Amino acid sequence: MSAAAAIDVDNLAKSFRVRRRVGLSTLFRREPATEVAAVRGISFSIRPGERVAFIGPNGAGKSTTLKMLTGILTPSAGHAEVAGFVPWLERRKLARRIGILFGQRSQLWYHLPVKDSLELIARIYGLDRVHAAARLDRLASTLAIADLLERPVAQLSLGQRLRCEIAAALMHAPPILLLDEPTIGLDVSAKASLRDHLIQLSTEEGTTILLTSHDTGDIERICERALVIDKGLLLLDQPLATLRAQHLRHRLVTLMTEEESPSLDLPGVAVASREPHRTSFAVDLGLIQVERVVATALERFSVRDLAIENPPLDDVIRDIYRGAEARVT
Amino acid sequence: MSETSRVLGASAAFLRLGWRDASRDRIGLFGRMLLFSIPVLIFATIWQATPLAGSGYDADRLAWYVMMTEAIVFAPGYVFREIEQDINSGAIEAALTRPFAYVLAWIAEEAGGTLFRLSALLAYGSLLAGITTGMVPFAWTVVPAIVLAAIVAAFLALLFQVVIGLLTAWVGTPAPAYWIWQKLVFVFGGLFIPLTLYPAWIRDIGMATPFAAILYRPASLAIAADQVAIAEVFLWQGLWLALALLLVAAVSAAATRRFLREGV
Repeated sequence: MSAAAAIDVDNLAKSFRVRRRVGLSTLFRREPATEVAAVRGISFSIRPGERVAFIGPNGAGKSTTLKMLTGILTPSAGHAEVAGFVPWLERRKLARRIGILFGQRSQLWYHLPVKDSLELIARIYGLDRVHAAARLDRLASTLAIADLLERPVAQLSLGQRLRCEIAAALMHAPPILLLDEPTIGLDVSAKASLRDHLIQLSTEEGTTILLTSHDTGDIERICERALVIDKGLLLLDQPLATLRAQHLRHRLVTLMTEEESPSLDLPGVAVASREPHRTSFAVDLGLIQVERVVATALERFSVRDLAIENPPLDDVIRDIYRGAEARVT
Repeated sequence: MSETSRVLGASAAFLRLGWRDASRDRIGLFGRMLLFSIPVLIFATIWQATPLAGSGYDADRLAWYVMMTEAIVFAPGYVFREIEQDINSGAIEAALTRPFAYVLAWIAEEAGGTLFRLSALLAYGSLLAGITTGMVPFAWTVVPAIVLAAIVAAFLALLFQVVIGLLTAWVGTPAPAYWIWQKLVFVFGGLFIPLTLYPAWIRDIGMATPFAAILYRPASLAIAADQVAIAEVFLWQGLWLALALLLVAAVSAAATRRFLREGV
């Protein structure tokens, strides 16, 4: 365990006993339980103030790990400390030191105005009225929710609600913030806005962030380091710059042009798909920069619109996983 | 801020929230009042047509008795459903990461709502029973004792509902347990008929259960409330309150252990 770490995880593992239950014949006799390993001995350490992405495909073990780190799931083996507490032994003490956002679950009371929910949360954490009001003002200003405070949560858009959920997670000014799919379901501008707010808060308050997401944009924009997990094993732990250089080697540039079928004879650029007036190019970042491709396209064609996309995270994970398998064999 | 004052402050905030929500739910309250009026008026009529000579009761007092039991039955919400939903949807996970007991939050919030509805139903029921019977069967000096006994009774019913809701951790759907519980309250609590009118052996069983502490004992104060009767009601209610709180704590701890071991 490193003394200065915000989160320290050592060989953490979790297995679940699963009993098959089918048909009437099993109603009166117990089927033997089978052990299913969700997390298989992972270790990592996160420094205070660091922003780390915890990524992997569905069923990789991300949420199980997050639950163990918040203290709501006891591991089968291994050890962890979060803010100096062993989560599953000191859940209530730890709760004052961490903020949690489950993107698909609300911590707010749906029928209440946002302000009432946040004040109730302040009472739960024992903030006095003056301190709570000051904190609410600060979060309202940083997260741009001042004009939402009097509205019932049920009347907010998803993007507005998620900004309020972040305020709820941060009311007690926790030094560590755990985010599970924070931008799921948001449109492009709401995602960008939420990411900016998270970065601002983390920078100003030195908040450590550990986030899970399927959106490479979240990871690239917010985080400086990535942990990649699959099938319960930690496949990769490296700075995002290295991950990007090694695995996010392609971008997809889509051009909507006056020309029916434009072509770009540049090294590292290949046509990925083509429709009349709409062409997608796969750009190999190891050979050429996206900026150069875009500049060339703007110079040569009448571009009505363009989009630059990352490859899907699942492709990246598959790439990493293939690499890990190759190393093993 | 000390730990005790933090917990008390948060509990009070949840209680106020429950009171405020219940007071805003006017349709729910009017619906309860309507449903509440039907058995009170029907039984007032039935008792008028029933020969009660030698039973120690008269029809007017029994109308007040039914008003009391109905008010206690209609006051609590359905907190077992809220807990069931929290567990089955996984929403309880977020609550478990807070430094405040999940069960205490629900008890405080539902207590606020129950208190509001009970106050409204007792006020409305007293008016209804007063107009129907043309009399008030108790002295004004015992009104605080009657109201307090009704509050404790509704709170007891709420605590048992919390236990039933937590059974979701094991059974997935606690509704059948709730329906069984509710029928036992109606029968052994003496919803429409005071337990003292039951055959001796059923009466003795009923008196020894929490159901009597929830319905018969507090409602009997509307019929005859002397100092001894009041003391006896609070003694039994105090005993069942202590046992119910222990049961809530034990079941809540067992459910939490299960969630921590196996996930929600």
